[in-house]
Amino acid sequence: MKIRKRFGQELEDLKIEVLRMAALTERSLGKSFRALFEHNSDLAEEVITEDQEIDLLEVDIDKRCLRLFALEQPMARDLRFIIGCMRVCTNLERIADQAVNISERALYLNQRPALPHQPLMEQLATTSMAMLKGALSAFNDGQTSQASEVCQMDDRADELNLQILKHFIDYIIADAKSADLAVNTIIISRCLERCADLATNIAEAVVFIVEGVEIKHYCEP
Amino acid sequence: MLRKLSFRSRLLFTFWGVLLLALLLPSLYYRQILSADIEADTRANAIGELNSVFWLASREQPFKSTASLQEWCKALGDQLGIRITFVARDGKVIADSKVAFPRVSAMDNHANRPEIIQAYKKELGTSSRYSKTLGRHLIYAARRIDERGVIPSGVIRVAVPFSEVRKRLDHLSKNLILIFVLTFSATIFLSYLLVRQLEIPIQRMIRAAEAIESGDYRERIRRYPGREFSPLAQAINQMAERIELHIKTITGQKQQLEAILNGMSEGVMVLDSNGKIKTTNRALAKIIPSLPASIGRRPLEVIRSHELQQACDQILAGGHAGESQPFKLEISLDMGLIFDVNIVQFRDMEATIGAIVVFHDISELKRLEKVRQDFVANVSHELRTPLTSIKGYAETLLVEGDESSDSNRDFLQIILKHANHMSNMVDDLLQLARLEARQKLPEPAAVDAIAVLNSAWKACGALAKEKEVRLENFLPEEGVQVRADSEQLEQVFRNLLENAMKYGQSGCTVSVLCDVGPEVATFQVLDDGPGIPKQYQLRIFERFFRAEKDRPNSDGSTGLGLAICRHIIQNYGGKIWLESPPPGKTEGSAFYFTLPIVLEES
Repeated sequence: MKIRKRFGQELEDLKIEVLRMAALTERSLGKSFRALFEHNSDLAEEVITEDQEIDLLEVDIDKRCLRLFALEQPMARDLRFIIGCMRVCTNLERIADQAVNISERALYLNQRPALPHQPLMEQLATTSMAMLKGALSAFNDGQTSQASEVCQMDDRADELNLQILKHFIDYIIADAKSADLAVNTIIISRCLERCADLATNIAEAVVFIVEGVEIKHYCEP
Repeated sequence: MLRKLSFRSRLLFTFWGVLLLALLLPSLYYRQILSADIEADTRANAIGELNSVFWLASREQPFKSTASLQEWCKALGDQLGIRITFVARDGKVIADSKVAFPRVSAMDNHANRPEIIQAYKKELGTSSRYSKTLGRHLIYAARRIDERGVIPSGVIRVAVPFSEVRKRLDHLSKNLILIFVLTFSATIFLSYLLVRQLEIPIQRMIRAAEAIESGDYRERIRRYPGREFSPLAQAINQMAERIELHIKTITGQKQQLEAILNGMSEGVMVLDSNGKIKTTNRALAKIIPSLPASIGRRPLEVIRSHELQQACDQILAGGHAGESQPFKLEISLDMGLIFDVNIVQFRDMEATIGAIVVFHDISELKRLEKVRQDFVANVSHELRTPLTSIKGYAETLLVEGDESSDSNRDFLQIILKHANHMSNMVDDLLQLARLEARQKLPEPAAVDAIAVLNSAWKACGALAKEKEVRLENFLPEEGVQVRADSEQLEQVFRNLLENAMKYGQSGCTVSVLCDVGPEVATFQVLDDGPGIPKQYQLRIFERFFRAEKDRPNSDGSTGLGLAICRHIIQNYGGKIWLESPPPGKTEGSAFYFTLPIVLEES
């Protein structure tokens, strides 16, 4: 009984660690957006330095999960929870990497004359941020309905990415001298779209944890 | 074993036991006495019969033969309804009233019958026994008889049937048993009723106590089964009264506390020793929309802030020194919300640690501060361009306008001087704005404070020469390595030195001392000027604050120097303060500031 109780505590701690990583990743991504849209290079530098902390947390969570597998032989929901946590934290680490990529591009863009206001980029950023937030609160509350919403939002992100790509191809054709700006922005848009995909993965992991159903790659439970 | 039974069963069983004893013992005794009486009576009767048979036998003519004796016996036995037996000395039966004559000789030897043995010993013998010959229970009485005629000396014995008596006795016993059963059942029923009667008030008392236990503190025990129970009932009543009072007090306090908590504009969250949320107040609901579901969860599950969770963990682990000191941190959440969070550790009665987290919404404050900072920065920036023009044209006029009169030149000089002053002020304001905006600095490189001080002294050489001020440098010769930006540190030194010179008299001395601690170096800039009145000492680091309001602003001071110093020192994690007069002196003032030193190992 005591052992079971300790195991419950361990699972709770694991969740807290994943949420900790989630909080850091979410903040990192938010900062990279601000670095980009507010032309704030200091924030971009911060994102790049903070990434190390997130990487360390991922390693730590992986170790925790492995130890739980080895020592506790979890079953059913507990097993799914641990596997789900591993998936969530892998995806969070990738999102943090994307935040670093965005920040690096932002550092470059901030040195150059600013592009005109890009509402599509902002929409894409808002969408992927909303998806990440949705996926994380679904993980926090164990809500599959929210997770499915996140999955459905992914189409919107893909569509926006495509529109941005088209827009900047036109831009390069019109103004070849600023092609570097356009290319960098396209890279950022690609990063944002990747973030949305990774958020979808997190949402799928949540569905896996809660319902034990694998909805990878087709987004329908 | 009795203890395991209920009170009622114990009472009943004891009752029944006593009843059984009380009823059974007398009836058994009575029966015994009666049967003994009856037997004694029968025995006496048998002896009487025997005596009369003996008397008759001695009066009779001597019998000619044993057959005539037999006949006599039979006649007499039938007449009296008893059995008469003659037994010879050797135990041989000679005549018997109940046995046919031919079979008499075949009868058992009677010598060892107890009544006969007794008769030989004491003349008269009695016994009661079951006779095999007659198949009945009989009382025997025997008496010795002397030889007479054909009858040898022996014993004459009569046997009185016992059955008549036994029948009466059995009848009596039956009646006794019936009476016993009837009385016993009646008393059992009565005792059951009595015990029940006793039990009902006890049950009522138990129910009242149970009601008190389950929270109905207004319940009282008014009727109790006996005087013995009155102290118990009173104790329970008093207990209930006291509990009611306590509960009222506690509820009152709780309501008051809740009212205070919910009336607060700050969000409050109470954590238990496991770091889970125990209580929250209404104001917190504005911060956390999903508040009702947050009880029993960890802060991170409710507010997605890594720093908050870390601080809470640290506090609960007892890692924060100084229990009464609140742990402060600032967290920013979505939608630009910024909170000043205070975490206080507390111990409850079982000495487990908990924490109280107070969220103070400073978003508006921060926003206003940002607006003010932006405003100052923007205004300074916008003022710069026109100022540069004014300065430029004034300088050009001064150099080229040779036709102008002396007064015009004087005016131009004044314009230039003030334009310069204003330009300095704008520069300082801009620098201040930059210092304020930069919250976190990358780890600064190491600089030698002596070199910085020397260059600062050189920069204010003109003023020093004018006022004939000497610098006394008491810094250690091997140098003091501190973590700071050399340009900014130079500015701090320059501002402090300039202040010391401006306010001091001509020809005075300014000393710079340093005290190197294990982590920080404390610098001291000492002058022997007029000093600063106590009431201004705290405000002197505010921007544009002047201790002497009416002092003409002729020295070109912008009023921002100390504010800039404070910001620079604070940005490096140091402290700046002043003491006037300095300890051990009567005049002058000392400005202190600390800076982190470069540690050996790094």
